[in-house]
Amino acid sequence: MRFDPPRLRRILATAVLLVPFALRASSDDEGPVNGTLHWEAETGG
Amino acid sequence: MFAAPAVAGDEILVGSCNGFFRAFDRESGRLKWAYDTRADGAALEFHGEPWITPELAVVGSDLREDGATAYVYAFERTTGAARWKTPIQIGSISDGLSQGGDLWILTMEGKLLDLELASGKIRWTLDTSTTAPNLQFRTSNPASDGRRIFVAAADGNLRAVDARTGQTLWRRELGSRPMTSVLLHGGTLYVGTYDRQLFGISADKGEVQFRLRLSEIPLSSLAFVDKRLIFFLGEKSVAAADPALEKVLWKHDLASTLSTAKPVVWRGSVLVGDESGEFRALDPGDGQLRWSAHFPKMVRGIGVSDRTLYLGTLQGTLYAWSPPESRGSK
Repeated sequence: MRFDPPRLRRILATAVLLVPFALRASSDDEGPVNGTLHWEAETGG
Repeated sequence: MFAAPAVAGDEILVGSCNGFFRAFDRESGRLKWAYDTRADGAALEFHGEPWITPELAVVGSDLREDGATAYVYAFERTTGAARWKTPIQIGSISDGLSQGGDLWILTMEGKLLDLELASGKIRWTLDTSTTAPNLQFRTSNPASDGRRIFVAAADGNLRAVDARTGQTLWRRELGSRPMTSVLLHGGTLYVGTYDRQLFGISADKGEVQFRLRLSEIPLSSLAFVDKRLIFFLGEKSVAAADPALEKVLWKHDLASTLSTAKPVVWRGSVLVGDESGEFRALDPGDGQLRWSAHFPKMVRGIGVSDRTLYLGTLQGTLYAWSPPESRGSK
């Protein structure tokens, strides 16, 4: 594949934009961000 | 999940909005048993906190529809079987109160019921309802000193009721609808109203001792710690007043709307959470932040043990969690 600086810049810019959303989505799947989580249980509502 | 988890022995007991009441193992979070209210008809919701005895978890349920039948349930703690269930029309979102062999609970229709704890039989009913049922999630939990029940009903009256007979001993017009639970402290009954006032009323005579005008409506349950009366001031602030209700001593603003059902005092701090997932511990002396944590879900109900918090979220997840300063599982 030919080296394409503008395309690379676009990819990098998109990646930078998406990182916070990816981190947020990741944190939504986890527990609290500090302290000690002993367990979690689901009640469905 | 609206209701606060109850911590009792090796169990965490909690009701959900989806018709289930459950017991979890306190150490592991393993489900011990679940009661599905669809066995009794429609799926009922649980919004009040259970009253725990050595054998039973007694809790009101609700189904806010015309002609509905909800129940006060007495679940056996070991098996989850309903030892008894008493129909209470559209139900109750208030916490039960118990003394000796009685349990008192306020229904959404404004009826204060005295139930026999052993059987669920209704001993007496005090009907305070004057208007349409209170279908909002603003309920005023009664208080008791064992001899009397103090109930602030949607009709804008605070009543002292003989716990044994249901006779009204005195009645005090508040001039507006109660928006907080009733708190008994040092012979004074504290209650907040829709017209932005906090009252301190003599438990013996029903006379207004103290009154404080506020900038916003006081909400939820009240708490007393370190000579501070703690309350929610509007939907985004926690505040404290002195016992004589001379002034607001401090006000702590949150970034978004409060999600926790009431201020909970734990290890000398006031715990509150908001809809952004921020969970805070405040110094009751001055309202300053002691520590905070962020949860991916909104914390609603707070159950406590020595070192662990059991946090129910509006999305249905239950966390057993310790803040950084108090590691440990019990």
